[in-house]
Amino acid sequence: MLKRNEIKILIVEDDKFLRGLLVEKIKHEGFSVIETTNADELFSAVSKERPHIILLDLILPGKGGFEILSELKANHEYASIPVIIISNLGSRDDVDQAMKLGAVEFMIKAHHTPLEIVEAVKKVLGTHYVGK
Amino acid sequence: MNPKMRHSLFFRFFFTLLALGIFPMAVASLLFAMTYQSRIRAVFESDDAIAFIETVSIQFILIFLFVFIIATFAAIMITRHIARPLSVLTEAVRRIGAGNSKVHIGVSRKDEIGVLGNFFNEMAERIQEAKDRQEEISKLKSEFISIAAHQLRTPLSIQKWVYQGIVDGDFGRITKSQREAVEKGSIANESMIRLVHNLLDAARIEEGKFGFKFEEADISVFIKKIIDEKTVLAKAKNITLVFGDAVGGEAILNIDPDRLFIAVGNIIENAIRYTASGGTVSVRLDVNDELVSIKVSDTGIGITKDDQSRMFTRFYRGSNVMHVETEGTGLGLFISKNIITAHGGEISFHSEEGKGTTFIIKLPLKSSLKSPTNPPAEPFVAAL
Repeated sequence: MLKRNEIKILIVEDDKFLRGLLVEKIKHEGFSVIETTNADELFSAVSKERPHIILLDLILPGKGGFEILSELKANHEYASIPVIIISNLGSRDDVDQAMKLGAVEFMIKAHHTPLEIVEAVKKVLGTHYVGK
Repeated sequence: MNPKMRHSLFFRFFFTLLALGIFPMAVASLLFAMTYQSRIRAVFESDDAIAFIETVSIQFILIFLFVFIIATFAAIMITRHIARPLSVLTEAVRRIGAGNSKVHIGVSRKDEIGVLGNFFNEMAERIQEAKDRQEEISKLKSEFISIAAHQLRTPLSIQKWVYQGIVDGDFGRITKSQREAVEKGSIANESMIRLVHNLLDAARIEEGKFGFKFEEADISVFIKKIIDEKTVLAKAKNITLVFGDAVGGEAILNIDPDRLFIAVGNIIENAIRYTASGGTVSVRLDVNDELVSIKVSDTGIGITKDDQSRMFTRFYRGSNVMHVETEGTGLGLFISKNIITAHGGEISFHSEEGKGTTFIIKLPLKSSLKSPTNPPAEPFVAAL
């Protein structure tokens, strides 16, 4: 089994302050964090680092989260990496679309604290890597 | 909508024309009779006189018949010319009255009725323009609310995360009074987040984008779940939340669980919110006549008579609640009502100020005709 610090969590979030708060929380739990702010950074990080889980914002400069998600899922190498959407969108249509594209969880930033996000990450890691 | 026969235009024209024909005839026959008496009678032999009188009488009767027929035809012709365009106009006006302003009348006449028709068409166009403009404005307004709400969410989530971080000690140790201050800030932040959430729901309802996904569900289990969740709030306010279930798992409804949870949850939450500590909120589930009724009664502050007619209007809050509870958004009941209506149900209430309020939600059973299979599109009713 992997140690906590060997588990790599990739964050795609363009808001520096929010990203900082979330990164601190995740690091505090002992995980490794890779920070990215847009699609280009994300894809180069994914190919280089092979993260265990991706936390994806939907509204991003350039390529949006939905597009990124469908590209990830269309790539057979990356398709198995679980993706949690962390966004301030959150209408039923948005949630349905994200889930249909293959996201495992949809968390609205204004409705969840970083701590709750970390809990969700642990849960997803548990079911995705240990449960199988 | 046909007028009675004797009030109809045809009869009016007919009698007028008949009178116009018969009156000169009557005068003519009177004059003839006088002339006959004074002059002709003395000159002719009596046999000739009788034959002459008979001939003249027959002539008069024929002329009378002729006048009668002419009057009938003339009345029909005139009526057709006036009454038919009138009935077309009546129908067009009725449609506009019924809310369909996309009405256009073909006008080929150049007389007064033609002018009226042209004016009517202009008026219908103006009404349609105004309606289009209003719809456009309402759409923009809903879009604006959506965008503004989304924009608000980002700073609100930053605040939320910061408050949480401070309380969790992520930024170092804090004193008790600092913690209390931050917790107060956090409460305000949460209520803003709730407002934004409700604003987004209300805007989506108005835009007709508040989609529904119906599935079969056992109403007893469903309500129990809501009660369980709201018990936390009730306990915090020292209010007894009672659930009486007379259905006991025997009613299956076609519902959108997430949406209906919000709708019924709002009603129960309101009851708890506007009832003083130590009070009781009771929820009762009943079934009769293809309808399930959910009754939510409280021993709260009640709703004043003046407020009762506007309770389901957006942003409307009871005049007596502002100083009791500052948190409400004024959107909960609007959202609840729309969700319940989309379920083919209805919501009503009765209330006595100072004694309490009872809300009654009625939902159709799955087997009944009113049960939603295809959710009705939310019509955009906008009053700016």
